[in-house]
Amino acid sequence: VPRAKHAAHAFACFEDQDEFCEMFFEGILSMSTLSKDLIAASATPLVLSILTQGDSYGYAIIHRISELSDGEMEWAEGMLYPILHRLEKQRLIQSYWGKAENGRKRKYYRLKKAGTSELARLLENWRRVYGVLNKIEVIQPCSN
Amino acid sequence: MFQLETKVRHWCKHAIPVYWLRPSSLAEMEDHLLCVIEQLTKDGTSAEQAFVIATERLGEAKLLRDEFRKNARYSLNRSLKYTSELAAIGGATLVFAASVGGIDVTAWAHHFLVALYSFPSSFLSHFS
Repeated sequence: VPRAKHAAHAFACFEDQDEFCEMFFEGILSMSTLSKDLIAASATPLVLSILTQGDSYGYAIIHRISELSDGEMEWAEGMLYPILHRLEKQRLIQSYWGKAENGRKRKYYRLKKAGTSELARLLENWRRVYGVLNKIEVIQPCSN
Repeated sequence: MFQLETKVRHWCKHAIPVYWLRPSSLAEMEDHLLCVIEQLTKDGTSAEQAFVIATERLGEAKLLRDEFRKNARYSLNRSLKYTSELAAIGGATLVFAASVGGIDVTAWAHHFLVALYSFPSSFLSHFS
């Protein structure tokens, strides 16, 4: 718990949180092919990160991920909804019904405080893995 | 003429058992499909074609069903955990009340409430 609090504090204190999110996205999405496992593992931090930029809804979240990854990260679009519903059950985000510009009923999602802490924890984990990978001197196997 | 909204609504109703959707997710799914269709038709795709593409982009039914089922299992596990914690606290209180000399309802309720509030981290987190 203290570590999560520390990470949340670090995230809150980051001078430019938008820049922080962009850096995160660039790091995660710069890979040309992502395995299903990696996409699944990154889904929660991606969704939570997008919601730090304001309340949003399913289609807009998918659109934003596709935009940030230059179309390289394509989800089966329906997969986002069980993820959103799970995050809501875990009380990391909160949903509410609103209206779209055309008057259509629309479900929006908002990041909760617990979601911000969880995001900070997840980002810290990603950073640690990235740090470890960077420390390893990869020895290329001999070709002959 | 292609009745888009009716077609989408009908498709979503049909999708409830296929995708293991909750009826409350119906409006959300409808909105998603209509957003995709609107974008595609803006780019010049016909409404009929856009409808087919939008439903295909949702993904394989089995994958989605598995994901929604995971959520249902998560809720069930959570309820079971909550119920078992409650039963454990109730049981312990009952044993304690019995051991301190007989069981009367008022004393039982009192001991139960004391036990309940002695474990705020495990119990009250369900209501936060």
